[in-house]
Amino acid sequence: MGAPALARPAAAGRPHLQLAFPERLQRLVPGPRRGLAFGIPALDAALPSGVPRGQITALDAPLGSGGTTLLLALAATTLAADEGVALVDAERSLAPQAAAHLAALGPFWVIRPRSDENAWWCADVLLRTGAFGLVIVDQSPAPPRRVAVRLQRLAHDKDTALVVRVAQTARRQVASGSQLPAFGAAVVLVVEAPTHGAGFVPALAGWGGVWPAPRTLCVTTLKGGAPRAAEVVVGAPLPDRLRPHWAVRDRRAPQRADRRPQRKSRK
Amino acid sequence: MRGKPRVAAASREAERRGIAVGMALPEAKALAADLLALPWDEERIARAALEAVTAFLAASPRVSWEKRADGQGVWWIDAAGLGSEVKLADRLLASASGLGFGPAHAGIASSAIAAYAATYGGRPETRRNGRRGRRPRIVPPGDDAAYLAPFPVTLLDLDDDLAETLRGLGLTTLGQLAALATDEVDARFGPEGLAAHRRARGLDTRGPSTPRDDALPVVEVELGGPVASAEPLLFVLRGALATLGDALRAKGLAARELGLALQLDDGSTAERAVRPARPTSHADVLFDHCRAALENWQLPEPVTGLLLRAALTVPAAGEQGDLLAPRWADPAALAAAFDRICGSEGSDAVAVPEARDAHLPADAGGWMDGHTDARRHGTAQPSAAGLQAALRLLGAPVPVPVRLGRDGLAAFKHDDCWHDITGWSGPERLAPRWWLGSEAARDYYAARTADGALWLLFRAAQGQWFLEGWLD
Repeated sequence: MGAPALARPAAAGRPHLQLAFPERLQRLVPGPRRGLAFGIPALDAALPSGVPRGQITALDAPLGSGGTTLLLALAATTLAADEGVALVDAERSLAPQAAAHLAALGPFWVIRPRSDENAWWCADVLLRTGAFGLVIVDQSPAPPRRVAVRLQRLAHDKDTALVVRVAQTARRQVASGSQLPAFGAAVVLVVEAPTHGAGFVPALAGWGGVWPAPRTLCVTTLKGGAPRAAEVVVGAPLPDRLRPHWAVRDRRAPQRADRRPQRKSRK
Repeated sequence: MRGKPRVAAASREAERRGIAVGMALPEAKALAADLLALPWDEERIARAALEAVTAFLAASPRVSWEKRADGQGVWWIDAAGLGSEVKLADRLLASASGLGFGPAHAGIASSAIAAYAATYGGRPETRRNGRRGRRPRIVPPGDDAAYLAPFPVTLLDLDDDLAETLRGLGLTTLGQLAALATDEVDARFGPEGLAAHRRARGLDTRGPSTPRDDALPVVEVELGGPVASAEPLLFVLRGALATLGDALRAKGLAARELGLALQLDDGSTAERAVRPARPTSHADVLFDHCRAALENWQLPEPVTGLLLRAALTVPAAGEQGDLLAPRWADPAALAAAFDRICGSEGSDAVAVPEARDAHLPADAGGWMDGHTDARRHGTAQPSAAGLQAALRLLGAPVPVPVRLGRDGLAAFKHDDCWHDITGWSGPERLAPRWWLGSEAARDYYAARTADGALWLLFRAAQGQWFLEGWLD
């Protein structure tokens, strides 16, 4: 703990006691706290106040648009800030290797309910503990109004940011605006993936194989601030087996140009 | 008297008239014709001792009872911090007299053995109530060894062999025993002699203790009438579990196993054991487990009452919270929340992701139990190259029809919808567990569809196409 320091402000004539708070102690001082950051400069600039604590944030991201990537990035920055994160994977489809790096950052758990309908109950239980700075509900149906109100109250009481990404079937109801008051989301982010332009590029120098090229997502703030858009570049993870090692010479043969999937011959 | 009619204990009045412990009963009656001989009753003695402990607890919070080999009862009472020691002793003696005990003696010292010796001292006096007694002897702090020196070694309640040996060596007083060197006592008399030597020097670990209630909590509820449906039973069960949880927390315990007994209308009892995943005292967690036990419990008769008891308990785990931690979580509360989720959603519902060294996408990661702490190991950075898309996998690869065009993959059908493929890469042949010969090689393709999504497909050896997942 830092020692108190005496300072004499220029405007005031009397000595003024100024405590040199350590960083951890400053967090206890009541005052406006910034929301959670994604750790992506462009997106954090588009959402200057961050993902609000004590509120529900809705993420409208179609299937395969990169919504999970953004949620995991948000979880990583929250864990780096020494706060716990729980991710409710309602679809039970998240590959563990995609989020394995988060477990080494801090207290991170993935909740995999039996059915997506139980995701809200899991979120309720998690919020009540007050142990998490961020609770993510991914790929679940839109919550009923009474459930949303209860979760909103719990998030407010525990000062926890609740980020919800509804499943594709319910996504349009949220984004349309008519369901927004019932949903209770304070911030709505819309993710749009480009339908063209993202091709395939050589994965490694000297290797004939190609790999999906990074693509640029467009994230728009629909609610919770001035409408702004941010572009986020997301790449496809290269498997470890394809990564070169400085000590190992790559002996793989270049890909043959005529190696295409062939039609099955009709007999 | 015990077994063969011999004297097992005698009051001091009887001792003054020549009656000694071990004397035959006829011989004792010959010495005192008005001798009142009572049969030896252990239960009665224990009950009387407990009554005395209860009465003494009104004066001091720490009281314990010890029955000596000679049949005498000794109560060790903590006198520290309770004001005047003389007044405290007077209150205790008055309590003993009120319970019908004979003339009791009190001694106050820093060690138990010195306090016991002090009960033999004191100045005889006549009390206000007319009874004769002795004023309590108070041994000044630090003078225990000097006070004990003239007392006989029989005060130590030694076993016969050691007492005989000491007598044979001419060690008759505690002072003589205390004067011996410790290592010599240890070498010659062993642990028992060493313990006696320590007591002779006023070093006694015995003393009063706080009474313990080792009984595990039990909650019994009688229903107003026979209940045939689950709802009223669950309503009562929740309240009973809350009471049980409070009782467990008051004792610093957590329940590893609960006994849930239902009293049926025909007078019989149905009982089941409920074991939470982790020892806990949280009523909500226990309620979920009890409700699950009730759901698949076929009862032949309506229920008239229930009894909950903590069958197995462990000390509740505690951890000091961190005031400066922004969001310190009580491990017990967090474990209770996870237990609730696991109880409802399955044991694998709470998990921690882990990367594994494997080539197949489905084998390159796994889920660890969320309660383990092994998850702190691993790399914190997924890769060095910026933001990487997250892989999502179907529960199992799904066979999909694939349409091939002039340039290879053209479309595939999933969820009754054809997805047009705008670009693809592959094949990359992966042979899972080829050394076992159980699974054939797979040709993996990454296909980007018209909506921008990137899918993971593979073609098995038989030419069948499968959809395994997508990047999100």
